[in-house]
Amino acid sequence: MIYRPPLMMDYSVAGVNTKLSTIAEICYTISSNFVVTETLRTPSSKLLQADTPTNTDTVEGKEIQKKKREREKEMVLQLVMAPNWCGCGVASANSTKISTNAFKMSSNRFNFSKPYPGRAYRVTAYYSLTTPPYELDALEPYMSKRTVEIHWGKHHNEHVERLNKHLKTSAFYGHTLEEMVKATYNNGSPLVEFNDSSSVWSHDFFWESMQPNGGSMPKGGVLDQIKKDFGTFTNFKDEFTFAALSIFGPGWVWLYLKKNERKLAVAPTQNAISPLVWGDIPIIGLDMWEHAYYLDYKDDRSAYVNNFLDHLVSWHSVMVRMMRAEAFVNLGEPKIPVA
Amino acid sequence: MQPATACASSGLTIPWLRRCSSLRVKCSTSQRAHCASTSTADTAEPIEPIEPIDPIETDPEPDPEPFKLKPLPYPFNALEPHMSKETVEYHWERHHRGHVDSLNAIIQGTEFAEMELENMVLTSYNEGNPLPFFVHASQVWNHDFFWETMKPGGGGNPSGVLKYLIERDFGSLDELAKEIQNAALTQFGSGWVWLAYKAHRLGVGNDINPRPSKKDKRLVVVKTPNAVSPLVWDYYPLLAIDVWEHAYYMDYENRRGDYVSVFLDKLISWDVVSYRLKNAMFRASKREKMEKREMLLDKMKEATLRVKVRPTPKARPKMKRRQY
Repeated sequence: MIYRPPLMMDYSVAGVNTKLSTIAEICYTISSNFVVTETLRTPSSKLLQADTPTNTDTVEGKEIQKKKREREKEMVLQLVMAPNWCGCGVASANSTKISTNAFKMSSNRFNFSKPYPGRAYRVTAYYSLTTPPYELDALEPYMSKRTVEIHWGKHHNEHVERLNKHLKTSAFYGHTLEEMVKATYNNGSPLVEFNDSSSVWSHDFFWESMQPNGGSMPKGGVLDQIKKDFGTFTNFKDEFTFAALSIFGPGWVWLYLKKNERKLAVAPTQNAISPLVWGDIPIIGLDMWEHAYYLDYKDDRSAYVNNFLDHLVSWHSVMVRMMRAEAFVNLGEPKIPVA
Repeated sequence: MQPATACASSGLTIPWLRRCSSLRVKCSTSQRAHCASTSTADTAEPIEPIEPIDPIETDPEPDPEPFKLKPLPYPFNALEPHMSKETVEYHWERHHRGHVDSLNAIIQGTEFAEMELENMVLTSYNEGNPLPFFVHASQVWNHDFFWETMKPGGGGNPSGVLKYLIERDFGSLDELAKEIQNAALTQFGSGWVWLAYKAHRLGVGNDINPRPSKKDKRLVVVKTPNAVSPLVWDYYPLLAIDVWEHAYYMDYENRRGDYVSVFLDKLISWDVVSYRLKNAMFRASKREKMEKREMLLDKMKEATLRVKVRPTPKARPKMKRRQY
């Protein structure tokens, strides 16, 4: 069984779509979750392929051939050397800022007034489906392979595809996923991209909240924090289960860190809402939509939640997330040495 | 499980009898034959004799089960292969029954216990601020409606007024199917998809239609989230498709579109939908007449108020009689 350690949410490097075929895509995959999938009019794959050969016997033909070569060269250069302008402000890890003068002196001329002379050409990047950090059957017998296959391969995938479809025409193109969730929630009047972006984020989070041979007790700092905020570990489990069973219809149940109150809390949410929209930091997320448990447990939700807490939840990823959260929230009193 | 309604003479359960009744039922020969052919594995219990109610008795104890789970109009495996026996069984036995039990637990002893189900749904919806038992009441109503919308060997084409209205308001049956599919696929999360008869009303005192036309009362496809139904919007539902995942997950996994198209092709009972439509049209026109009558009465009342009536005639000086 392959198990890779859980990833920090914003910095995931793995989980990248492996369908890469061009130089452009290779250059851009260093940024998280982004894969170049298409360009505006000329697909990048086509740029590097030979066009239909023009007849170079005539003078015209030769001129056309010459223009084509130049354009191709220019376009390849633009692909590799383009700064972070892609029409909507996507941050590319490869881009660097240099002064205008230096740029003008350099050999890579890039005309800012007409960035892409001639035909319009734009690199666009969309989200891809991240893979869970374990094999699909690794969570048996608590979550069957078929459930994971459909849940990830069909539901999660469908959300990613719908999100990408929205992003083609949306003003939120270029936002990171977390930003998009917060922005499209729009303080309770969610915009059309909210459902899909929040679902994608939540499902990524969900797969990483689990691990094969998970469950049992957390250790060290996490356990201390839970004891501090819930009393006992059993109390936390009871609260979590109660919250999960109190949801009517589809929803999620979260263990999250409240930024303002600087403590952990459990909350259920409806449909695709997550604690991100409240500005808090989620630590564990459990999908209580029926598609997550119906094939395995039918309507026995308490068995599903108990199995999740006892056998599936990844306290390792909880620890990693708490570590990251401590960069945003001061959880403890500072130990000021007494003189 | 409450005792199934049983036939007095044959002792078989009666799937066709909608409401549980404490009356003795004597089946005719044809009905007995029907029961014999479609009897399920339900236990046949003999009817208990009715006890005479003492009229001077004090208030009887509140019924611990004001609402009872309505039996299905067909056996569990009747909808195979389009809806498996397992799905129907779980759906009815666990989800539907769960709602009935929760509803009974909440309303027992309160004033809501004597309400009819439809009335309870509307009251508990409370204009958008639902009371805690709204979801249970509404789901019980919705599920009853849903089971009756289907029948074994369903599908086919609508006829009569329903067909006319579908063609007038949607174009064709295929267009209607497309709209229903669209509604089902765009319903995020759980919910229901409905075909409803909408009488063009706002329900406020001054909603006078300046250009009334026959098309005002029309068929519409609506989708509702979780437990809501178009009753709360004053529509008349005709057809319901449950798009909660528990309704189709075991048979179709995530393919909600396939489930809905199979529902429309193979499961739906257009007879029931037609009957409901006729009912709805009758109720809608009756209501309209009542409202017109009320409006006229109000106008008359207003007019009579404007008329000043002197309680006594005006005092005039008496005319002198001429002395001849």
